[in-house]
Amino acid sequence: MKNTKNATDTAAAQDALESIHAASSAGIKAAMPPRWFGLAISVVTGGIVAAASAGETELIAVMLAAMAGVIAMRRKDSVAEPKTLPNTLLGFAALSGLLLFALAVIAGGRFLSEAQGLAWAPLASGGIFGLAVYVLSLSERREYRARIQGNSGQ
Amino acid sequence: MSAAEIDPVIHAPNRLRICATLAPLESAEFQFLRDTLEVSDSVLSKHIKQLEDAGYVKLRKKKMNGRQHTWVLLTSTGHTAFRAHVEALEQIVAAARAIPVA
Repeated sequence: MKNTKNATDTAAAQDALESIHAASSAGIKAAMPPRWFGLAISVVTGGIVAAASAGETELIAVMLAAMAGVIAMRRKDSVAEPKTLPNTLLGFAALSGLLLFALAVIAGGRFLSEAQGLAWAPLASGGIFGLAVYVLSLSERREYRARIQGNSGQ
Repeated sequence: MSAAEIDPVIHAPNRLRICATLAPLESAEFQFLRDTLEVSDSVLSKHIKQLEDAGYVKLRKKKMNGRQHTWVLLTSTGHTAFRAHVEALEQIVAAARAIPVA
């Protein structure tokens, strides 16, 4: 009698865990940013870095407005919001690293254009940073897919 | 099931799925939850109210495209309770696997 009850409890717990994994996957899938969003954000952030390297403050303001527009477009049709801030020390370290990288690329671009007279340096720095952001957006999508597959495989 | 660890508020299948859907997210729209769970508005409202009364979820109203939308988010208390509930379920399954078949 007790064994039958234990088996029922175990089966119910197993069913509950499977239902948790399926529901988690549905949430993660709905929150996964579309590919266009990663591309648009990388173009805009690259533009901000290029404008900052060139010392074009008005262009920075335009790019920031473009970024707000891209985020608003993404949110318009969104039904689930992913976590915006990293909740691990590693996540914060990665975010800080990206900000430091942006500052270094801006400083490098500014140095090359002002001290060395290389007019293309701000564009190159924007391109480098934009590419880095795009690669990060692709790896983020991979991480989402891995989490979805991980849930369905459990 | 081990009543000491299983959270009775979360344990109901629909409430468990609401928490599981919200756990990896910042928040989710009410209609999305309704469609995912395949329940009516009233059924979902009832379950969300019970989770809200326990302090596990919070509701936020947002105006989008000129219409008011309700978004649901899992609170930190909700996250803690959900994690503990999942651990309890995993322990039950792990304990059953550890028992040798006679």
